[in-house]
Amino acid sequence: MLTTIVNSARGRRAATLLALATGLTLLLAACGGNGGNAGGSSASTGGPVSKCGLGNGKKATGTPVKLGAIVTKQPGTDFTPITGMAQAYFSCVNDNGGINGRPIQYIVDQEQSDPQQVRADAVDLIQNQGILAMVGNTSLIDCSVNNSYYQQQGFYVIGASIEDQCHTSPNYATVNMGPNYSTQGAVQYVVSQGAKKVVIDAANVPGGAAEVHFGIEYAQEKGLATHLFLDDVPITDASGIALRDVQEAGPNGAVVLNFTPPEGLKIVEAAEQQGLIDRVKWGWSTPGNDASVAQALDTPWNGKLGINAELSLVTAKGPDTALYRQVQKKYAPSIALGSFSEMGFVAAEIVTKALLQLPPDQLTKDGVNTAIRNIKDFKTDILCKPWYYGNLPYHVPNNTDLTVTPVNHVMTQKQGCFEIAALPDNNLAAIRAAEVSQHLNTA
Amino acid sequence: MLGLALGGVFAVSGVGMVVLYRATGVLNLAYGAIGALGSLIAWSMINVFLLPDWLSYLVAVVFGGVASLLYGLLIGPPLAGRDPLVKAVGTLGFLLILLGVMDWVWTDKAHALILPTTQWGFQVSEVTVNVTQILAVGLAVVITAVTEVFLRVTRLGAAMRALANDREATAMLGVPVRRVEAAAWLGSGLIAGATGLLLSTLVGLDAVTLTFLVIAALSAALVARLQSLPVTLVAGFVIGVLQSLVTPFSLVSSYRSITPFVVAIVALLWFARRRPVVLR
Repeated sequence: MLTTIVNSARGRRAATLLALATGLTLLLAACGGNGGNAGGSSASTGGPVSKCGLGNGKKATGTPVKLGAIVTKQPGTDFTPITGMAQAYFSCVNDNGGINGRPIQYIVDQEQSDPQQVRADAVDLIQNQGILAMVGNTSLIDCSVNNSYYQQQGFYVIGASIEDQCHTSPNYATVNMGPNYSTQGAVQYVVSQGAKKVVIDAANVPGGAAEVHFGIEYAQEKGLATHLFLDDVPITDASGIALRDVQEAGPNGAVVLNFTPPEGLKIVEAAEQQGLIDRVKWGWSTPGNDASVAQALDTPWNGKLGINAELSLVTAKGPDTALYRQVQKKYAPSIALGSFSEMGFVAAEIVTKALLQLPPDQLTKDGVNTAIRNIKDFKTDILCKPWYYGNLPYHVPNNTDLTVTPVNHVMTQKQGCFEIAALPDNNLAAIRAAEVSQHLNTA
Repeated sequence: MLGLALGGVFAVSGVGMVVLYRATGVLNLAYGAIGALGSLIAWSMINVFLLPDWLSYLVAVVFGGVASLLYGLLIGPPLAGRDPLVKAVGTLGFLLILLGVMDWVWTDKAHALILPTTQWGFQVSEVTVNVTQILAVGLAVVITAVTEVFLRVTRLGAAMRALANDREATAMLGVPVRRVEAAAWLGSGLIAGATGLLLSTLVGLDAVTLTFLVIAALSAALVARLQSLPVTLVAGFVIGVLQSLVTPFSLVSSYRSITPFVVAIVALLWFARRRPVVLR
C-alpha cells in the first residue's frame, strides 16, 4: 500500500514535471517567432505554385538516395539556413514520391573552419557514408581544401559559394555568385547612385579581404577612391564601426557591407541610432537580403539600403518562389525567408530534377555526377537567368542579379536584373563567351 | 560618448559580478547569457506576442533575477564548499545550456531590440548622442554608488561583506548564509537582465555577442581584483573608451577586441610590481 502511495506520488510529480516541461517547450518554441510571415506566403500572393519533385503526395519508401553537404557554423558565421532549407525541400520531395519512390537522405556535416575537419568531413561523406552527390555545400574553406579531392573522386558539387576558389574549379558550381561578385554588385549599385568614394567593410574571416576584391576593383576601374575595413565577428562595437566607416567614406561617399544578417544588422542599426543614414550611400552584399533584416529595420531605412540580391525577392510571384515559401512554412518555419534559404532551395531543386530524370540503374555515384555535369538551361524564377553546370574550367552560372531595399519592414525591388560587370580579374568575359558558344543557358 | 556608454554597461556588469563574487565566491560566467536570454524573451514578447514594450522589458529584468536566483538556490549550495575554479566552471555549464536554448529557439535570424529611449537624442559634433547611451553611463554610476552604500549601511550588505571575509565564521555567528547568498544571486541577476537590455540596443541583439561580452565585464572586475566597486566602475569605462578610441585607427583597429585583456593584464602587472619574487 505504502509503495503504491509513493509510486502514485512520484507519478504525479513526474506528470507535473512532464506537463511543465511540455508547456515550457511549447512556449519557447513559440518565442522564436515566425519570420516566414514577414515575407508573405503563397496563399496570400496567389498565382501558380511549383511542385516538390513528383508532386504526387505519396510518401517515398525503400533504400534512400544519399546526398551530403558540408556547412560552416561558428560564432558570427552561420550558413546552416542554406542546408536547412535544402533539407526542407528534400523532406517535401520525400512526401511527394521521392526519387521515383526512393527517399532522399541528406547528411550535413557542420564545420568550424578547421581544414583537417573539413577534409575529414568530405572523406567521411563520400567514402564512409556513401553519398551520391554533394549538394548545398556552403563553407568558408571547403572549396580551397577539397576541390582537388572532389575532382579526384569525380564529384560535381552544387553549392553556395563564399570563397573565390568555388568559382575556379571544373568540379564546383554554385547557385549564387558568392560574396566577391555580390559585393561587386552592391558596389555597382552605390556607384550608380553617384558615390564618389567606396568604403567596403567586411568580416575578418579567412579570405575576408579576397572575397570583396572585385568590388574594390570595380570602383577603382571607375576611377573612385576605395578603402577596406575588416572587422572581427561577432561585432561588439558596432557604433564605433558605423561612425568610422561613414567618416572614411566622407561626403558623397558610400559604405558597402559584407556580413551575415545578424552582424551587418548591428552596423546599420548603429548607423541609424547615430543619425548617419543620410551621410552616405549604403550597400550590402547578398546576406542582407533576409526577411529578418527587413523586419528589424525601421522606416528611416526605407529605400536607403541597396542590397545585392543574387536570387529573387522572397515575395515574388513566380511558381518556384511560391513553392519556396510553402516549403519554408511547412518544413522549416524557423529558417528565415531570404537569400541564404533560397540558395538551399534552388540547389536542392536542381539536383532533384536531375535525379528524377535518371533511370533507377543510373542512381550511382558516377551516374548522378554525370547527370549533374550535364545540367544546362535549368529555368527557375528564383534566378535572373537559367542555371547550368557544363564542362567549364570555372563556373559562375549565376552572374546576373538585382538590387532590393527594405521598405516598411519588407524587401522590395530597387533595381531589376543587371549584369555583374566583366573585370580583368573576374573571368566573366570568358564565362559569358562560353555560355553562348556551348548554349548553356540560351536553349 | 559611444565608448563611455559601452564602458558604462561593462562597468555595471562588472559590479554585478563583483557583488556576487564577494558574497558567494562564485565568478558567474553565465552573466552575459542570462542578460541575452532575457532580452530575446523581451524581443519575442514585443514582436511575436505583441505585448506592451514596458512589460517585456520588465520581464527581461525579472527573468535575469529569477534565472540567477534559481541557479544560486539549486546549484550554488552543492558547490559552496568547492574551489572557486569549480564554482566558475559550474556557471560555464549554465552558460552553455542558456546558449543552446537561445540557439535552438531564436536560431540565427537577425533580431533587433531598440529601447524607446534611443529615439531621443542631441547632436554632438558629427554624431547623435541618444538617451540610451546617457542612461548606460548614468546607470553605471548610480548602481555602483547605491550598491556601495547598500553594502556599507544595511544589515544585509554587512552580512554580504562578512561572507566575503569568512563564510564559516559568518555562519557560526548566526547569519542566514543561504538567504544572504540568495539575495546576492537575485540582485546580480536583476542587474544582468537590465544590462542585457542596454547591450541589446548599444551592441546588438545577438546571443553569442551578448553572452561573451562578459569577458569585458570580467576584465573590469579583475582590474578591481574582484573587490572594489569604484575601481570596477572606472575600469569598465576605461575599457569601453579605449576600445572605441582604437576603432578609427586602421593600423590597430583589427586588434581592438583584445582591449579588455590588455587592460586587465596591464593592471594586474601594475598591482604585482612591488610583490617580491619568491623562489621555491
